[in-house]
Amino acid sequence: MIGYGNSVFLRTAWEVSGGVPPVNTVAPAITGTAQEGQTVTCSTGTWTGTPTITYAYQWKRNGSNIGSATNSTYLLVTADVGQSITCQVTATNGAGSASATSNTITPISAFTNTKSTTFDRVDEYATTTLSLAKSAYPNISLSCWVKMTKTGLATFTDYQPLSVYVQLFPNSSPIRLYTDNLKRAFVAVQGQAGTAYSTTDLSNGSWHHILQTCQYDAGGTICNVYINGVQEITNKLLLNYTELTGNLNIGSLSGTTWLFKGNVDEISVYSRILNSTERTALYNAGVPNDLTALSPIAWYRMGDGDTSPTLINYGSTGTSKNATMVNMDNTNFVNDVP
Amino acid sequence: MESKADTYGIIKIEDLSNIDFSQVIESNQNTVRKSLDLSKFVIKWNSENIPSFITNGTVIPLQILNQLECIDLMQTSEWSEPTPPPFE
Repeated sequence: MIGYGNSVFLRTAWEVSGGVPPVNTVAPAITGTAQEGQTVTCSTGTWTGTPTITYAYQWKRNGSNIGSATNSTYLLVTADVGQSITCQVTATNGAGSASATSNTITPISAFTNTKSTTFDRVDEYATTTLSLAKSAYPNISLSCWVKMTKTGLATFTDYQPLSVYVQLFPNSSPIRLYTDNLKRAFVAVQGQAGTAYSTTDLSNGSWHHILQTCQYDAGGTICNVYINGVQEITNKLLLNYTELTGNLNIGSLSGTTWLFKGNVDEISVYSRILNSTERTALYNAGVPNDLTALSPIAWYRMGDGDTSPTLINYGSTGTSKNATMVNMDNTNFVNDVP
Repeated sequence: MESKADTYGIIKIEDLSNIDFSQVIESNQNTVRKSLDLSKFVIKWNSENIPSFITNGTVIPLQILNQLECIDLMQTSEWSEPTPPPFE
C-alpha cells in the first residue's frame, strides 16, 4: 500500500502543480567544426513542460555512450574520425523526463599536410566532372601550390605552352604555365592587348603558391595572378571567348596534351573573388592551412587522405566531384610539401 | 624533391592486349598514351617490379627508358602534335 500510496502522491503532485513532463519540439543540434581537435557544442533543442526543465547531455559514438562525455561541449578525438557522433539530451522536470537525439556529424581528421602529388609529363593527369562554366561561376578564384625543377622541362626558343595543370574555361582563363628558352616557368594570362606573364621563375625547385582570380562582366574578363601572396599580374583583360564546356582537369589540358611535370598540392577553387584578407589566409605565410573557413567549392588535398585513383574533393561540391587519377598510383603521393 | 623511380617501356600496339594492367601503373587500355601514328604506346612500372609479361618474353619493349628519357621522347614529333602557336 505504501508503494501504491507513493504513486498516488506523485500523480496528485502533478495535478496539483499543473506539471507537464518535458516534450521535445525541436531536436538538439550539434554546432562547430566536425574535425579532430575541434570542440563542438550540443544545444538543448526546444522543449515544453513544467515545472522548469533541467538538461543532461550524453555524447555517443555510433550510438554508444562515450565515457565521461556528458557536458554540452565535446572535444573531438582521433577515435571520432569517420564515425557517427551524436548528442542525446535528457530533459527532466518534476513531472518526468524525456530524451531527444541531435543530428549526426562525421568528424574528419585534423588538418595536416604531409603529401603532394607528382606528375610525370608523360601520361599522368587527373580528371573531374566539376564544370566551371562561367555561366555558373562568373567570379572565380583558383589556388594551388606547385613545385617544378628545370629538369625534365622543355626548352623553347620563345614562349610556348608547357603544360596546363588546371584547366578552367577552355581558351578562356585557365592557369597556364609557360617556359622560356632558359626553362624558366611563369604563369601566363592571355589578354586583348597581348599576354601577361608573372615574373617569379616557378621552376627553381622551390614550392610556389599560385592564385588566379577571374571576374566576368559584359566588357570581358578581368584576371589577376598572385605568386606567393604578391600580385604579379594586374587586371588583365581577357578576350571574350565563347563559353565552351569544360571540366576541371589537373595536370593536363586534355589527356595527353600539355602535361605537367612536378609536384602539385592543395588545389582549391572558390566561386568568388577572394579579398585581401582571404588571400592572406590562403597563402598563410607559405604554409598550406585548413581551408574550411574559406568555403571552397572544390578542394583537393593531393595526397593527404587520398587513395589512388581517387582524389577526394573536400569542397562544398562534395565527393561526387572527386578527381580520378589516370595512369597513376599511390606512389604518386610523395612526402614533399610546401 | 622526392620522386618516383619508374621505368618506362615503349611497346608496339599489337601487344596492347598482352598487357596485364595490374602489373603496370597505367590505368587501362583506353588511357595509355599512344604515338601519333598509333603504332606504339607507353607503359611504366616501378623499377623494382618488372612485369612478368616482360620478364617471360610475352611482350618485348621497343625501348626501355627512364623518366627523363621518356619525357624527351614524348616531345618529339612522333608523339606530340606541333606545339600550339604562342598567344601573340
